Amino acid sequence: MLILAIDTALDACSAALFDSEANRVVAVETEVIGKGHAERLMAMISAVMTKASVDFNAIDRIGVTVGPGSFTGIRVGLATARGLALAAGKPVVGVSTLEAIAREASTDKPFMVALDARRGELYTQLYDGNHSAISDPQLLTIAEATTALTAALKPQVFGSGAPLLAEAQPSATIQVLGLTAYPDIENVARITAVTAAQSEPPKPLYLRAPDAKPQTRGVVERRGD
Amino acid sequence: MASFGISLRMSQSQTIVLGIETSCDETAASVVVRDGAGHGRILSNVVRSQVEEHAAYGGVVPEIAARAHVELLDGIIVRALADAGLGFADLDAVAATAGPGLIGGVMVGLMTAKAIAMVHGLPVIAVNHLEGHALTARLTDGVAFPYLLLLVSGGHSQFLAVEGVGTYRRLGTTIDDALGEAFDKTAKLLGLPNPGGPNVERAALAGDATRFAFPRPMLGKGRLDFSFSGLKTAVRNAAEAIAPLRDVDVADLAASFQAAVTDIIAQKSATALADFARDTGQQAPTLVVAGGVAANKAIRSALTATTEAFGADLVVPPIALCTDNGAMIAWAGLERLATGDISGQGDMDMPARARWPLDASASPKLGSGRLGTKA
Repeated sequence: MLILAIDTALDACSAALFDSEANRVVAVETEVIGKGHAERLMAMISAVMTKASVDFNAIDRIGVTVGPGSFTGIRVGLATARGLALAAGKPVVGVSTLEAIAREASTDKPFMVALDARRGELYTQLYDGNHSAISDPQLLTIAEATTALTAALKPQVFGSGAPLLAEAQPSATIQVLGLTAYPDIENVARITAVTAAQSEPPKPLYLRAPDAKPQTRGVVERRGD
Repeated sequence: MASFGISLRMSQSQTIVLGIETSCDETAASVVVRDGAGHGRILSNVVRSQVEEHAAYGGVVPEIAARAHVELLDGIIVRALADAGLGFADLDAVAATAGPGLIGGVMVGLMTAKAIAMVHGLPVIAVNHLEGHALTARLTDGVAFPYLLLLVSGGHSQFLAVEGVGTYRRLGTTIDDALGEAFDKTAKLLGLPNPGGPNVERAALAGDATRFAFPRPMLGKGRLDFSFSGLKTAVRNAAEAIAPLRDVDVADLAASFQAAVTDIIAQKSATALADFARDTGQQAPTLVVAGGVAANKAIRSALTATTEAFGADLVVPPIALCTDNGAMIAWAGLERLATGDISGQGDMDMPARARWPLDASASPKLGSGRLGTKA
């Protein structure tokens, strides 16, 4: 199966073609840019297609990170992947950034993936020693994440949010496994290969609600008659 | 312009464009065809309004709008193609709003357009949303250049001299709120539901427009610039002075507000027509109205009277094409294709733009409204 994988959810902007039978990356473009994914992504997709000398007919499946991450980045990737899938008539699979990042943790014990979500919060998910998720992805405060983490016998944390937890709990024996802040595109492709394609296109995984409150202020009082 | 007698060669030279619009709170896609003689025909026009998503917030919330666009847009495109009875292979280009507007939504539309264009090897045309509004009357009524445009919507209030595709001269704009925004804010303070425009208009039907003497800001100065912020404050002060409001008070306030803005629009339009006629030497210029506020019947009838008194033609496209839609974006793309003016297009790196004035030479105006003074 030839997979086109794209990721714009966090600091990296990446596109890759992955051959799942041969178990190898055919072509890859990746750059840590922080912002401006919308202006870079199409050129990267075009570059991997050219490098591999394939057109969209040759692709069997598209994989895209759906978050958690930057809201704008998530939408850039999803709009592109869903647009490509629609236009090419190919299935598209959503991949969690937490799951892709978890693949990079080198441990055989349970661990937490924690990404810095800013505002003193973390995108988190717990994994067992086989790197299988054992909790839902969650947005937690540093305190909540610390509680969830230290409940483990030997607390291990992996990801860009790890230092926040280590600093918040200097006395605890939290082991930082690594500070990975964005997925390796090859892992996004590998997860795409083993995920069953859904009939509905993938949706964003924001974990955080929009910043908006219902407004009732400023309404002049009405007579209740 | 008659459309009969189209030769085979002309019918073969027809061009078909998919237009995508996601710059505010409508998710829209449309397929439009332009024949060799320059006549346009809308093959499909699908608009999904997000009014309900934003209703509780008293206005459009950018993040909520962007979230809705990314979930809705591909399904809307499928419907637009199905309604037109066409597939991607039938398209000659994909056009999408690239600004001005709420950047999160604009990005969704533009990335989707780029993706479709890349798969099918089509040019992608980055359309200025305001240009879509500005050129709609050529799609619906075949209006010839030059003409005077009054664009009045939730995000914009401006007079533009439309001299050609890509040639726009801004004659005046709002220095604070857009007119549609003034309607929305008036609706909100009177406790009327969203969308504000139609609900203020409905309430005004039963009201006494002479009960409150609201100001007509900027009538004497700034010539063709608008200001609606002070008027909104005057409505608030008048409402608070007599609160709690009875239904008749709400009706009278709505009617008096609408009478004030109608006066402003009518008088400024008369000035704009006089300027435009002088500049172009046209005896009977055409005034085109675009934007959601064009749906307001009081404003339309005032503009009818104004243009009749001046001996000018008034063109108001059907309301579904005055509010945000994909057909106007497809048409603007077709006009760009026809003039060959798609320089810098097909460039997959082109950015979405929150601000993008149609008249690049016009200086920005002070102040900002709910959606920002975008142009």
